[in-house]
Amino acid sequence: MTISPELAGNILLSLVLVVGILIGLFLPRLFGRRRYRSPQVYRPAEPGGDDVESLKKLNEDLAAKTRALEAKELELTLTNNRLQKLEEAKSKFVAVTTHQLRTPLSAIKWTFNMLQGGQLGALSADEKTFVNKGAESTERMIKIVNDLLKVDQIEAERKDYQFTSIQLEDLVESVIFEFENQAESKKIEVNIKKPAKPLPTIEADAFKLRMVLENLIDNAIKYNHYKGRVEVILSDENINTTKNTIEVTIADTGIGIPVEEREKIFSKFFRATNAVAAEPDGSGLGLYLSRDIIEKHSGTLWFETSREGTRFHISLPLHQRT
Amino acid sequence: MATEGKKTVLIVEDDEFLRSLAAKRLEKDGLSVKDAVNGEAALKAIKEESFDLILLDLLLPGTDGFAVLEKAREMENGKEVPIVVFSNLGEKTDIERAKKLGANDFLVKANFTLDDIVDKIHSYLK
Repeated sequence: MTISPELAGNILLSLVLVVGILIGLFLPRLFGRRRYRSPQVYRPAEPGGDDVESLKKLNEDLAAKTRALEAKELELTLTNNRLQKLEEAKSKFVAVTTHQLRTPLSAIKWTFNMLQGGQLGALSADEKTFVNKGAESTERMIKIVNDLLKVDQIEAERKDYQFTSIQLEDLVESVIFEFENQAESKKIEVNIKKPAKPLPTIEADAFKLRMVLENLIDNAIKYNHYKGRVEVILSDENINTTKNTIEVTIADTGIGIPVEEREKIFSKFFRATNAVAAEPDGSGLGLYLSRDIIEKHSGTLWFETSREGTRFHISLPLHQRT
Repeated sequence: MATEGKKTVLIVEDDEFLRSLAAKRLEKDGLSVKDAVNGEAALKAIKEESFDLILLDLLLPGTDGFAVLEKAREMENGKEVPIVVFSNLGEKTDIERAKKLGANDFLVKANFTLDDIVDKIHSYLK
């Protein structure tokens, strides 16, 4: 076999390259230099070298690749640390600003409160109307600040879930009891449908699960018609023995969720148009938080809606963390 | 129940406007009010005088409310007096810490009206 001058040139070039790389790689190592180096460009072995040389070359290519990966790993670790710091800074920012907002808000609230109570002198009917409007706006603002803090706290406490054994029907009943007055003011009937014998217990964080139920029942009342109905269904049929889950359904007789908004209702700060109309003081965080909490219980939260009403379903595992 | 003279409440609050509002509201309700603008002034007042109740803010310049709580509970006049914290802090950890240091109650300012606060005060003065 004859070797063409072109091939010989290639071999020579490969050799020079290999030797060059070897010197470049080993010299710093011999002198115990830094471990991490800037990523090197990976060049595939060129054809034509003899076996030992191409193996060496392959080896070197691999080593270069490994170093590039190590450098990438370091870079990712650094980015991750930076993101964590950013997250902490954001959390701190929210906490500080919200706390600082609360002082002026308290001052406004208390002033309106004194005016409303007549402690700063009697008010005319006109003045009373304006003062009441001012007081309402202040309450709205306070609620938003509190909700922001709540989201922040919940996001910070994501790992901090305390699971205990819970009798769902007891929890639901005590939440419904809280809403008696609110329901009465719109002449809404709130019922619970539950089986005769106690349901199996679930493992849940009672405080957080309560927040979800409160939010869903509050929505069901708020966005319902006058003299509407709210039903919380918690029956034997709601136990799925194959999936080993239990379902709670909160059904209302409201106007339903518009088609174009159905996908967005679980987004942070999202507010449905009819929600804004019905209740301007919402923060758009209720369903976002609710879904987050249910998912932390390894459960699911979803809904069905039509113009006759909306049904929210919470599905929770029956034996959590076993 | 008949009271012998007016009950005296010490308000510890660094924000001047909040302090004057609270004082005015309490006085309208027949209470006598003393105030302190910071932790040091509060401790000095507690040392010199005995109060029927202390309304204590937590975020104060210098000696903060937590330190006031701790020190007051070691003082003759501060041992038994009901101390109601009213603050714009309100995280679980703040509430637990204040209660551990001897606070009888914890109110987040923005979440309560002055009427609520006065009701709370009267519940301790019965």
